[in-house]
Amino acid sequence: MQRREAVKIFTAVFGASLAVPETVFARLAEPMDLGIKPILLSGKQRKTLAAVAECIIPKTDTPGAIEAGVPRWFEILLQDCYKPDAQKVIMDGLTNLDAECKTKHGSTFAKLKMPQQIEILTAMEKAERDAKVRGGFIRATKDLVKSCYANSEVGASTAFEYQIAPGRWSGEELYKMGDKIYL
Amino acid sequence: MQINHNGVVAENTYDAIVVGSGISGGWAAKELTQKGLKVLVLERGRDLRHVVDYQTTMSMPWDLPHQGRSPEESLKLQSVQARTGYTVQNEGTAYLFVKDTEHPYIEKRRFDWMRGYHKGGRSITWGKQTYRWSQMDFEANAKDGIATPWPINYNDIAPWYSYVERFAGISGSRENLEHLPDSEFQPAMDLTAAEKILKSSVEKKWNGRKVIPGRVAHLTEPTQEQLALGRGKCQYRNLCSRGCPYGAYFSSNGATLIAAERTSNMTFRPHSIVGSLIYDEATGKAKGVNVIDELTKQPMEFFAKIIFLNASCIASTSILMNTKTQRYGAAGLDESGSLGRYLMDHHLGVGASGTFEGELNKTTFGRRPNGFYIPRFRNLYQEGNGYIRGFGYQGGGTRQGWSRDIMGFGEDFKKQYTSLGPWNVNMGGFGEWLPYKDNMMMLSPDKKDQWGLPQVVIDAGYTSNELNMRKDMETDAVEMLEAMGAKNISSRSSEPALGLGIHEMGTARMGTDRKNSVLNKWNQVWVAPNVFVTDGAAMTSANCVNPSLTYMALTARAADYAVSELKKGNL
Repeated sequence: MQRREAVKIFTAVFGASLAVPETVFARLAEPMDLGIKPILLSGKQRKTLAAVAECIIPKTDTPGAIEAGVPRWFEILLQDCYKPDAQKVIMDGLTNLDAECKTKHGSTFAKLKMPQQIEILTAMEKAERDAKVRGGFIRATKDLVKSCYANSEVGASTAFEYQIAPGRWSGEELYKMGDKIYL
Repeated sequence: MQINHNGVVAENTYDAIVVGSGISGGWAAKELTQKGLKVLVLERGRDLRHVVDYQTTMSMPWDLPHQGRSPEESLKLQSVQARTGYTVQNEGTAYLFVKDTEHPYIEKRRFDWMRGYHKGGRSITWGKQTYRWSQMDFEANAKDGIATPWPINYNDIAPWYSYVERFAGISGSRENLEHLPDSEFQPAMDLTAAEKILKSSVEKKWNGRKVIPGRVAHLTEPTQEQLALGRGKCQYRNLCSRGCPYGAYFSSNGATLIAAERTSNMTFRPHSIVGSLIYDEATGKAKGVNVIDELTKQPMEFFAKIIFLNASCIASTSILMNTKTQRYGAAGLDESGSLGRYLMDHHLGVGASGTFEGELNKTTFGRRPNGFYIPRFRNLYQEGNGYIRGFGYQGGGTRQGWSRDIMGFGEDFKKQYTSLGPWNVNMGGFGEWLPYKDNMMMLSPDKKDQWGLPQVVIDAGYTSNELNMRKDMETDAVEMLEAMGAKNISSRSSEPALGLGIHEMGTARMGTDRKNSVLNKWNQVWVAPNVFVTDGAAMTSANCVNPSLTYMALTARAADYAVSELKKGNL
């Protein structure tokens, strides 16, 4: 949709003397599907991750993390773009979270109700901040979930708005809390 | 049929050869072809057709395999290029920088060499910031008694600045500053609400300090000439480094090479690595170039009356160094001893950022490929603490978005996450690096690349002048943020790294005399007057402003001179 808009701008700019055929432009808009498969996490870790991601960005009037495909993006980025020690922080964190929930609450994290999940995560975040841990499990996981959601097709066209070609610049635009943010 | 000394037919003979198709090579190609010369443009890398080959230019974040983050595997192949976040850490632009595994060089001291080997070179990925030099900058070496004096004045280059600006298209505001002359401007890109507060606070508090919109080579109000080339207005995508499908920023591919192609006088040959010049001992001129085909590794020769070296600072200098002659010996085409020396860059990685919590009912629209600029003020309006010359700042003030640190989870978190935070105001300094004789490059006597050409060795560093300047660069940034009432101010200053500015320059400098320089005031090699070097290699000092505009102007000026000399029979 937006890409079609961008092609329209392109055609308007170049008019009839279009040096590049529109078909080329359409080709440039093809997703670069390299057939990457997430293979880093175990089934258990995936379940925990999905639940954590949804606690961070739940479904409201706009889709939540799961609906936006965040768990899959998260795993692909974690396996391909992170160094082993940073991967370990998140993978161990997911495993430990589950183990702790079993001990303390008799259930895996994913099977707890969301209010309880959020309570657990909130306490973990506070502990991490109090201990001034850099690159801890909660911080690292939240950072990647935030990024995966904002850069996903669902997130960037519902909770946010991404335009490939905004077409204009304004240094002063009115804003109030609740207005949709352009990425 | 004309046959040269090797029996190669005249098909390999042109009026002019341009080595390199980056920002200055594109200008040489345009000027020489438009003046009627048959020109061969040699590019060491692959072809990169305008728009058609910009493979990520229309990709949405989710179209990229890793949403725009480069995977570790590919970063390993580009480990030098990855030393800055500006180049290959972005998945959408990594394809426009070299694989370091294929293009080795030797760092006696750290040197960050960012390279793009394809048609258009780094004109595709440059920052597009464009600033004129002033008379003060051309006088600086003579006044300070360092390095060697520039052989030209502002008046020599001013008309050529105007000439290239009208063609390239520069967005900016008229400020009437003597030390940062105005260009021929298209409308400026507005400052943001927070930047306007910074501007009024800084200009009120300090005599001579200014906060102005960055000056960039983007079309905001294209001329008929620009439209006719197929160039359009900036669409505020800020995806420039992927290549612009609208031709809205200036690049060789989108502007000068199109103009050159339309003359039908240009032959463009990719995969053509120039190793050295073919020097004629009898005439004291270069009669051609030795080329190695990048793919087949076959050697070839091409001949011309004039040769423009625009291969980028280090590569052009390598070609001069690798041209061994009886007359000038093993050191290359130079008798001054300055070839390969006085390597410069701009030093950066120093500045400050803070938050601003006013103007919260305002934000911005569009992604501006630009920011604000604070022209130099030290050693002009306020004295510098223990150094000569000065620095400018580039920065931006925009609302914080989803990536800011937000505590919490669930709906409350999501509400914050999808709203804007306070303004973030950030500025980073660009400081002048002085020309030092011992900051040098050489050719390795034994290490060769896969084409059999000697590897480049770099041995260069900084002194107390750069270090002292950086203290002011850090402190002044903090003070200006304080002046606007910013909070949470944090400053930064890393160890200066030569090359990281991606403004490497100065290893075949211009000068007043063949005893003190490689090039004369027309960018002519003193000892081979039909060879012109008009890329960063020619620079006699670095100033603190982004250099590309000056390369463009020097190139157009030298091309004009070269053709007039050619017509007079002097070359």
